[in-house]
Amino acid sequence: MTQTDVGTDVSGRVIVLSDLQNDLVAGGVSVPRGLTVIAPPQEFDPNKVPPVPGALPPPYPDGARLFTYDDQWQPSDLPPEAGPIVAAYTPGVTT
Amino acid sequence: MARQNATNFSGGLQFPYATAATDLFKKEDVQTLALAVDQHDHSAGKGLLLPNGAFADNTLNGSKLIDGTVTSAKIADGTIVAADLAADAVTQWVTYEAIATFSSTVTGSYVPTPVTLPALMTTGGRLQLWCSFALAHSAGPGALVRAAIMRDGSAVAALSIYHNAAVNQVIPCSFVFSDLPAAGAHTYTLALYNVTAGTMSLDGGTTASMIATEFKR
Repeated sequence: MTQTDVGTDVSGRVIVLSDLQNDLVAGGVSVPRGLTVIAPPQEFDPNKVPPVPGALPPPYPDGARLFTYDDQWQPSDLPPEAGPIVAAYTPGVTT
Repeated sequence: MARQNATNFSGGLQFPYATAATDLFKKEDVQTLALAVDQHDHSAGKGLLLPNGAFADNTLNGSKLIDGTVTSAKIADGTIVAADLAADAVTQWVTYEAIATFSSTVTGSYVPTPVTLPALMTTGGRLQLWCSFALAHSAGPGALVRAAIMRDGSAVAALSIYHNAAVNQVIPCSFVFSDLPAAGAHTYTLALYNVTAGTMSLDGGTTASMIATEFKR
C-alpha cells in the first residue's frame, strides 16, 4: 500500500498518534477509523539510535503521510478542519 | 552345400544366396538383393540393427529423440545440476526487506502495513511465508495486537502479540506459516489489528521482512 497522494505530509514530525487523535476529538473532529501514518521504505541505518521505552517516538521519516480510512476502508484525507489541529499538535501537550 | 536365405532381411527383401560354386544361381537372386540394398535402413528385416559402436561419439543430437521419451532411467543418478533447471522452475520467491514506517490508532480492524510482497504468480504449489518485524505500542504492558498475513486482502494466518513491555518499547515478532493458494497472482501483506486503544507502530530501526517461497514440486 502506498499513499503518496493521500493524507498530510508529516515528515520529520514527532507524533503520538493516539494523543493527536484525542486532540482531534477534543476539537470536534471525528476520526472513527483512527489515524495511520506510513512512509516509503527506508534504508537500514545501523547507527540509528534505538527508541527509548517510555519516551516519545522518533520523528517520522521523509515522505510520511498521515491519513484516515473512509467507510470503504480506503485511505482518505483527514477532514479539512483537522488541518489546524494537526499543524498545532505538539507531542506531550494536550489541548 | 545349399542355397541359404539372408537372415537379416525378411519378407520381399529376403534374398537367397549360394554358398558353394555348385549351387544354383538365379538372376532373381540379384534382383532381390538389389531391392534389399536399396531399402535397407537397419530396421528389423531390413539389415543388421546398428549397435552403439556404429555411432561415433557426439554424432547424435537431441532432435533425433522423440519428444517426451527420455525418462528417469535414462538419466544417470546425481547428474542433474542446477544449471539444467530453468530459473524459478522448482521454487520461486519474492521478498520485502525494508525499514517500514507504520503507525496506526485504528482499532477493531486489520490495517494493512507497507510490508507487502510484490505480486507472486503462483502455479498451485504450497507456499511457505516468513515474516518478521518489531512492534511497539503506546499503551505499554498488556496491550494486545494481532498480526496477520493477508492474502489478497483476507487474513490467512494470525499471531496474537501481548505487548508486555514498557510504553513504546519495541518487541521482536516473527512467524512462519504455509499457504496453498489457487494458481494465479497473489499479494501477501502484513496487517496489524489493534485490540487495545493506543498507537501501534512498527519500529523504524528494524528491518521488516516477509519472504514467500513457492515449492512447485
